[in-house]
Amino acid sequence: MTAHVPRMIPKGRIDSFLESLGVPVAVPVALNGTGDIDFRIMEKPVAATAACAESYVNSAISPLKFAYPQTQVLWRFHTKPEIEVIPPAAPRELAIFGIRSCDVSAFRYLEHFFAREPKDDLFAATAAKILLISVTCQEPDENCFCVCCDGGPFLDRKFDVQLTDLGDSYLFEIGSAKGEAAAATGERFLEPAPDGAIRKKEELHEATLRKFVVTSHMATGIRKLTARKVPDALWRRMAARCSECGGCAFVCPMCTCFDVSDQRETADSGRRERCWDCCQYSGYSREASGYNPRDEKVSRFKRRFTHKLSYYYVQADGVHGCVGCGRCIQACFGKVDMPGVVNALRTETIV
Amino acid sequence: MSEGPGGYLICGYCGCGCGLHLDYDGAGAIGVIPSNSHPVSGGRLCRRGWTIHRTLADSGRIRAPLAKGKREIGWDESFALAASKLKSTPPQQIGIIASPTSTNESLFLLGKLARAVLGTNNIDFPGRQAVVPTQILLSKVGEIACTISDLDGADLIITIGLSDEDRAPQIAPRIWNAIRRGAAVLAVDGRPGDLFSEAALVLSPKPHTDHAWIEAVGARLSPRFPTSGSAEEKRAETGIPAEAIEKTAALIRDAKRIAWIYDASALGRLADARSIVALSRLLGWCRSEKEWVGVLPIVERNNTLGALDMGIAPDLLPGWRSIRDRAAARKVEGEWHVQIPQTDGLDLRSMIDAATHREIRCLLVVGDLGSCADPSAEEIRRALRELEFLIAIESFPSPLTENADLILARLLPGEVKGTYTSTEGRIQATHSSLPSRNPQEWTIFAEIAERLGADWGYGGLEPVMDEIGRLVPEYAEAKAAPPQGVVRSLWGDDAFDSVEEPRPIPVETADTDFPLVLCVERTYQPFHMDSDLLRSPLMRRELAIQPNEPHIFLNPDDARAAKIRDGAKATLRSRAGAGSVRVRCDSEIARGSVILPEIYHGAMGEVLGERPVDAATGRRLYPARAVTVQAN
Repeated sequence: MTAHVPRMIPKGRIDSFLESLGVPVAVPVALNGTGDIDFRIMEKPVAATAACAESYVNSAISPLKFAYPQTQVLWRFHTKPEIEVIPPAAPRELAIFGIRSCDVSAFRYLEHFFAREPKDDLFAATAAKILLISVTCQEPDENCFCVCCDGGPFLDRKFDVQLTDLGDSYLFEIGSAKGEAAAATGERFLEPAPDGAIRKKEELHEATLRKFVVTSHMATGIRKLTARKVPDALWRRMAARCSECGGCAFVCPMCTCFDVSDQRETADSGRRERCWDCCQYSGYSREASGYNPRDEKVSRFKRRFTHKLSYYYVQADGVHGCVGCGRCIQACFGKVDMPGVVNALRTETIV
Repeated sequence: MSEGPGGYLICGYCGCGCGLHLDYDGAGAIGVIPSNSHPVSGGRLCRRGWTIHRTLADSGRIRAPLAKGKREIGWDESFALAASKLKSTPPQQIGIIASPTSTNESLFLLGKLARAVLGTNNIDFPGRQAVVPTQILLSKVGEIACTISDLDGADLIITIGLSDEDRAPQIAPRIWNAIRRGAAVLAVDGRPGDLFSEAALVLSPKPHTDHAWIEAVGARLSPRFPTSGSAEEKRAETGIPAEAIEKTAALIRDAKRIAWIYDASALGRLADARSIVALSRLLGWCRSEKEWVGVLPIVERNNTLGALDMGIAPDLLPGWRSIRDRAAARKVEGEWHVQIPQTDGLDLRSMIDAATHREIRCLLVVGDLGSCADPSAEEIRRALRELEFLIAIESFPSPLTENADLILARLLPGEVKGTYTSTEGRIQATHSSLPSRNPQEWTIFAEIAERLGADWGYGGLEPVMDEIGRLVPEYAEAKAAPPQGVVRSLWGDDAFDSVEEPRPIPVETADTDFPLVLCVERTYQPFHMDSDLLRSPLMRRELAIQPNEPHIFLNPDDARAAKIRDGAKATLRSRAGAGSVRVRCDSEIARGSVILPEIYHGAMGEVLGERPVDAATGRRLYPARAVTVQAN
């Protein structure tokens, strides 16, 4: 892909641009009068941005759920008149508008993870149809720490289309072939970027970096954990605060584990489905014999953060297992979320 | 865009009342979105909340009304059948067993159906008697109930019998916050879990001896505190060392703002009137000496409090008014345009007993009775066999539906519309938007009532809530409340102002032949009581326990001493009898104790022997039994 000249898109043209793509659009909406944000698909993208929650920071669950849903049918089957396995319907195209940089970063990791052998064809086929139109963050939430994880708030790569709010218009940057195709389709709604637009974006980026509240010294955490310099007593104290609710894994856009189960629908038919799973659950590591190599909560807890932070995995995957979206801070009962644990590893105290 | 297509739900699996949204793909619920803005849950959900959507899709569900022989019938036919059987049965021979998991609207209309249409006060719900001690406590101490958020303002949090944090998961963040803020936490528990690993002090009194440690602490705080024996006798009775009593008194003495949380359905703790009376005295002292005192009883089910508020009891009207309170009864009669029976009805145990003796002929039961401990599963089985007609409103096949003459398909928490009242008295609406072939539970009662000649004519939930609001004013405000609801606690009402003279509960102690003490507790297994939760494959995997295979928990050292390995089968023996169990080792169990999860109380009936009834509360208690565990 060649380097792209940045463009602008007036805010009033966003709806028309999205409509020109000719695909359903997922946008962040405030749910049921609660102010809680989730991404939902607008079948008619006209006025999609009107449905968008105003001044939202991020959604309770990552919009990556469209590529990797909480529960997903892998295939259906029936045994009469003869045994037949029916694959799920072909994934359809989708644009996700308003996705944040942290989730874009996580999306790229999931593509990498599920592409490894044995390749996850269902994920690959679904993800291939998804266009990410991200909007950079200028007002991070009190839980956000993407700045510590190379997860945002602005990206210089990984995105398809990245929008930055410059007032009446967005700066429109293209980062992939999918983004390029989208720009070509909606070309008539784009304008050339004026001089200084990129500089303005960089100033906004700098200003945003100063607004973060949470700090998570990931490098120190990785070093301490990789060198196995974490006292057992500290692991035990941290694990004691874990309620084993599974929330950290379910809200984490970088978590990939799932469980597979079969559901009978009628006497002659059923479905196989997968659903998100969590490594903090006691049944997660239990073997068929009943033996559980990680029977103790502390060993599961240690394992989770080792997988997320140990250099072994960083080396294998190219990234550590966190993009700093801050959702685990919200979900955790005992504040043993990512920054909480990293800071405990660093200072050997729990706050 | 304001409406999430799956709807906004209040979780139906414990009393916390957490908020969540369902994710819906057009074919069914595919996920759960936690509500970050919810004042209690704030984006935190436990395992049960996170897997709500998975129970909905289970293929084993009862999907349509079924007549005898599991013959599928239409709803119209089923309403007519239910109405004709109820009509042909004399009111005193009808029993209604409601569910503390139903919505307030559904409970209210079931109460109205019983009293105004069928003419019986024979209405109750499983677990009601467990909260009688709390009714007594809070009516003695006055308006003292606090909310979960109030815990963040306490400088001392005292928890009693809260060992398993699954009982009320939203307490955990408040405990850790207290530790972080430097507030003290005092846990009274025979099996203190990780939640109390950083508590200032853990007391582990012997079962049924809470009155003793409370009196011993009270005596340290005030020379005028009434006790029934010397400090030394109290300490011996409860098994707590003198320095721990002293430290407890010091913690209470030094604190300015004290929150007390306890498991209102605890089995071995605060279960008897004696302990409740002692605690009410201690709370009274705290109230006069401290800046602030709050009490948070943790109820067992998501709408236990709502069931009480709606008058689901043989002697109560909506709003906790006594059935004998004529002014209150007249108000209800004015609203319902009918005279209601004036004598107390039968409670659950009496209904089951009456059914066994064929004095109750027709029983309508909502939800699963299988987990009911009082009366026992065996007593229920015997009674069901004698019934002329059993109407079961249930979601999944159960021992109850096996015996039913008419099964009406019940919606699951993920599909229900209406309001629940949480353990802190928060009245909030749950409104699933999932399509369902089956009617909402409240409409079942309305349809039956109409067929019995009543002219209710509710067009929707709103007029039902309006009527509730007129009879229970605390609920009037709930209608206009935001999604997060309003907190209106009716605890502390004056309907329960008398307590019979408490009598001691017999407590066996260990000896050389029976060196361990058996305690019945609710453990992780409350999940078993929510049988629909087991329909989630993930929850089934997590439990990995066969519901029909009784097991006990032992300290690993006690297990080693008895030469029993983790997972082995063994014989549990008391002076009353013996039973076969599987042993699970757990280092959280205090040495010398054997914990039997309550769900196995039926299978271990021989070991438990005679269960004494606490005269003041009417509750059948679990005696502490000296036992031995022998390898098979």
